[in-house]
Amino acid sequence: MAPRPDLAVHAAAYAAILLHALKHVHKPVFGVLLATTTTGAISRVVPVSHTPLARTACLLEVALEQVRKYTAADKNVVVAGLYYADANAADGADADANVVAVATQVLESLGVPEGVLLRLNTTKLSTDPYALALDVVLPTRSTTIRLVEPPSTLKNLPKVLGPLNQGLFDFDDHLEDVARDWLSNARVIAELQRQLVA
Amino acid sequence: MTAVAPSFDDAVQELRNQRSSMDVNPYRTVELARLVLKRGGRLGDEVWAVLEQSAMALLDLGMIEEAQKDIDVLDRKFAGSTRVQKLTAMVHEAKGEFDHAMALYNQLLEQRPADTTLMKRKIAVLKSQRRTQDAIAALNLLLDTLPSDAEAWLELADLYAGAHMLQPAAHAVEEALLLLPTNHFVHATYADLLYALGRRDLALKAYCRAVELVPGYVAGLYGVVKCAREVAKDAPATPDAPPRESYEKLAKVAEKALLQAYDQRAVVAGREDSAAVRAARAWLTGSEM
Repeated sequence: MAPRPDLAVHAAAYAAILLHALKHVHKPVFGVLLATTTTGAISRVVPVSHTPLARTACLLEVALEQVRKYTAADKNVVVAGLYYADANAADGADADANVVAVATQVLESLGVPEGVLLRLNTTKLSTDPYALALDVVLPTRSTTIRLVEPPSTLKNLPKVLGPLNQGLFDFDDHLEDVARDWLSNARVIAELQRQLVA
Repeated sequence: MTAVAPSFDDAVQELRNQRSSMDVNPYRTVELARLVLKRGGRLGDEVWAVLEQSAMALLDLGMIEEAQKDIDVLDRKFAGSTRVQKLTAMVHEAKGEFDHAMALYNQLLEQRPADTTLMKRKIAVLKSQRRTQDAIAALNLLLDTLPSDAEAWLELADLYAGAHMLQPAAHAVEEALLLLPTNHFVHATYADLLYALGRRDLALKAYCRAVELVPGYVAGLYGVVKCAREVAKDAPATPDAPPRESYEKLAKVAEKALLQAYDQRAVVAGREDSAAVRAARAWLTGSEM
């Protein structure tokens, strides 16, 4: 059997996950990963919620149905999977079985039952502040993940995280103000790309 | 994103508002506190509250050393006070020294057994330690003494929901509803749990109540549309239940209200062709983007 290939993630997508988690400290966050159809690398994210997954069944379904419409209309991206961070992303504990169960159902409903589930794990940052702080939970924990750009790109992270923090929106934010574009977050992603890869 | 820094007085007022609000952005707090503390002399006695607020926000962001500086200033002024010791315990929490934090909270609770903020910090530590069942037990104990704390009931509901104990979660939200019967958010929270429990007909009722209370409530309207569509598919559930058409009509009414909300708000903000608005319209009208 051919070895499972690495997962590849772009720095801007990783930074967006961090931004989402940092914007809502002490709250669990959850979102969708999008990959480019050309390379299969995770290039963008769609932040969905900052409320506990188990408590948002109905609105979660609405959000995911809209994500499906969005990705169906954009030929350049496909849904690659999901990301999440626990309320305390630095606690170093194992992935919560309940979250994994919900995520598995969500992946099925998004039409990607073989999709990935990434978990933000900031304990990795205590030994190396520029590490890629992501664990792969699905499809298997031994699937590796690497950054598309050189690792030194992450040295630019601290300068972008603070200022851009308020510009990223998820579906929960959208429900409070429908002018907030949670699906593309185009401006923030572009700015992340510009500042990280500069 | 703010392009222009707020004035000293505006910053002081915003910090005051934050002190009485539940949902606070620590980045903003730190930004404001830094601005204000540069001219701390102008604050008079309010400086101590701002220092405490700043320390807590810095701890939220993991900026422990900076928080400790603020706490040291407070400690010099109010050596040994419970409030300062509570901050010290929070530093232990931020460092992951949960046993230390817990020991300190227990010690402080012996001096002030009725202090609910201390009890809630204990529960926060238990949550950080993933001791969900212990956190649930502690919260139930707190609610025995203080059954009128709606926030605590909702917190309990969250803990139960996280442990996939949806029925107890729903019971906890019912208690919060008794205390806050006109709070649309609590009705929507209840609705969501009912939906997760498979009671979409009851979820629909609860979402409708939320929208009755706040007519433009977007989350509530979405809930009505989604639930009405789902129930219409299975209708009628019982012989005396409303026919499919009533649910379909209800869905249409809510869809129209949401489309109007998008027209009003998104168009005004110049975002009418944003991806989010286009997707919402497609979802509401059953079309593609």
